[in-house]
Amino acid sequence: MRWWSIALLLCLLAYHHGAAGDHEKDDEFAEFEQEFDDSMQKPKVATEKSDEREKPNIAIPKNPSPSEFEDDDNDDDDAVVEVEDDGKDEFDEDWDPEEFDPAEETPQRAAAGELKIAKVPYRHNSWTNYYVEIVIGVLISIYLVNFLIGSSKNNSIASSWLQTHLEFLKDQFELVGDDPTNQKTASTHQMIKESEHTYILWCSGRQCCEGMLVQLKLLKRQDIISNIVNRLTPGNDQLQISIHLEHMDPFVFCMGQKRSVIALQKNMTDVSLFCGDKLRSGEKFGFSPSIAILSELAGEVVTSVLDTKVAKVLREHEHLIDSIHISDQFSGPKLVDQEEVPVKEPDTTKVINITLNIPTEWNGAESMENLLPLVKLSVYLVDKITRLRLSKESKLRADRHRQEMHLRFLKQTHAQRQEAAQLKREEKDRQMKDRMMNEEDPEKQRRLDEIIQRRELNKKNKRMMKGRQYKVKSM
Amino acid sequence: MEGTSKLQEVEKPKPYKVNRYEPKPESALDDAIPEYMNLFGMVFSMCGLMLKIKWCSWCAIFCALISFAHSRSSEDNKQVWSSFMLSISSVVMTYLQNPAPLITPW
Repeated sequence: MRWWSIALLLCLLAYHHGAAGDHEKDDEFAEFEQEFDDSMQKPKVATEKSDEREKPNIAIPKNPSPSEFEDDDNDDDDAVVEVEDDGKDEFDEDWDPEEFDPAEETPQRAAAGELKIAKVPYRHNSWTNYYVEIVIGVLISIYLVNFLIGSSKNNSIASSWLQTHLEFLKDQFELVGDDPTNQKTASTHQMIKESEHTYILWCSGRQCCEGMLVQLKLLKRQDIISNIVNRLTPGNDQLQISIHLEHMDPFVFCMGQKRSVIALQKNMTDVSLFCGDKLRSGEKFGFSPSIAILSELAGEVVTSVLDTKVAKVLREHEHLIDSIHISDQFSGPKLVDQEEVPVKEPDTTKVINITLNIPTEWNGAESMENLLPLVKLSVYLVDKITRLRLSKESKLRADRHRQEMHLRFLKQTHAQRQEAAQLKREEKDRQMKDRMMNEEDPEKQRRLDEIIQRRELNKKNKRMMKGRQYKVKSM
Repeated sequence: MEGTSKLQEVEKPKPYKVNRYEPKPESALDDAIPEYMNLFGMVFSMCGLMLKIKWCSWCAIFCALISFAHSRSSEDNKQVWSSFMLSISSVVMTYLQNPAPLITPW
């Protein structure tokens, strides 16, 4: 798609350049051509429009008519053509426009001593002609102003969130805020600004978990185009909490808004492999119909995770929940290219991923306090999930399921490995044959040929032996 | 006695481990806008310089701005700045060669 868009862009540019070149050329020289045309046409216009013609001051020698000759008997020096203003034009009869050559004028004019320098009008571009550039400049300044406003708004949202949650996090974790560039392990108590719309906070140093990564994924307020898109298709600022657990029993569980759970089922490897397609409604636990639950081990896990305490907090803040995903086989999203089979089994981790929606009308510290119970719940879930113990049957089922997935993966890779080995063998045989063909010494060539023949014979024998073994076994 | 108890408290191993933050490698698929805008910016700048098309040069400035707005802190700033400089130089060179104002097709 990238290449298509680039190719299309280049074609458009080439077309425009061809059109613009002519246009510019016309514009650059249009005025001069116009003036030249005007100067060229003036004499013709004078000859053609006899009614408008003035008294000529050019002495044109011509064959005088008998009447004229009689009248001008006394004046023999100059042949002057007088125009008789009787409505009739003599030139209409005798005048041949093609004979009149304006070039003959210039030597006579020059002879007369008159040099007229044509006045070329100086094309002065006043600033009003640059209205397009002014408009572009205004647009750039609007973009920059929006950038400053948007980025400061995002910054204030992030700092108000940190302000309300910092005390709680300091109680729970030893390390709150880590600067990866600093070699010393020290709490910074500050969020890392990954971009103008993404802020990160890393907390570590607590029992049962390796660490907690909090990501504030805000709307791209700093980009005016994204702002316009957000107004057309409204979105939310999101808070993503990702906790890496040390121990947990094997299960995969997710719940949240229906569309988010469906997206998880579609995009996440572990949810798609272990959870199946059957979505359960959250009404059973007192949630609204928009909440869906998807679990590997339905029943036991759902009731264990959604106990009275957890369910109560979730019900109260249901509008803020986007998704809750608890998994011991988390390996990230599925591969984009489905044809590409991974060479080795992906690494899995035990995680609790919680995504919360921050409504856009919030921007103050007071409103951020409403998120605090859910952040506390996420830390509470760390201890709960670590201590959660499945029944024997459920555990066996889960382990069997994982074993099946592992074998399936091995089968896929086995076929791949076999294919790779076959290709390698074929390549080797081809190289051997090429070497034999290119060999100049006939003796060596004969020997290589013998080796190749022997190898092919051995392969055939092996296949035959295998075939006989299968027959014996089947018997 | 007090000294030994204090020593024991100090030496008592913590029940947890403090792990450092490891930034995950950013894949271009996450948000490809900065890369695309950088590329378009360079293409527009080249077209503006070579083919003397003014609107291309102005578009290059917009592409550089959008790329800057979406850029990540972990990325090198040099690329964004070089994109800016290239687009500005493209605009300047096009107007030096042809100071006439931009003509709209309508």
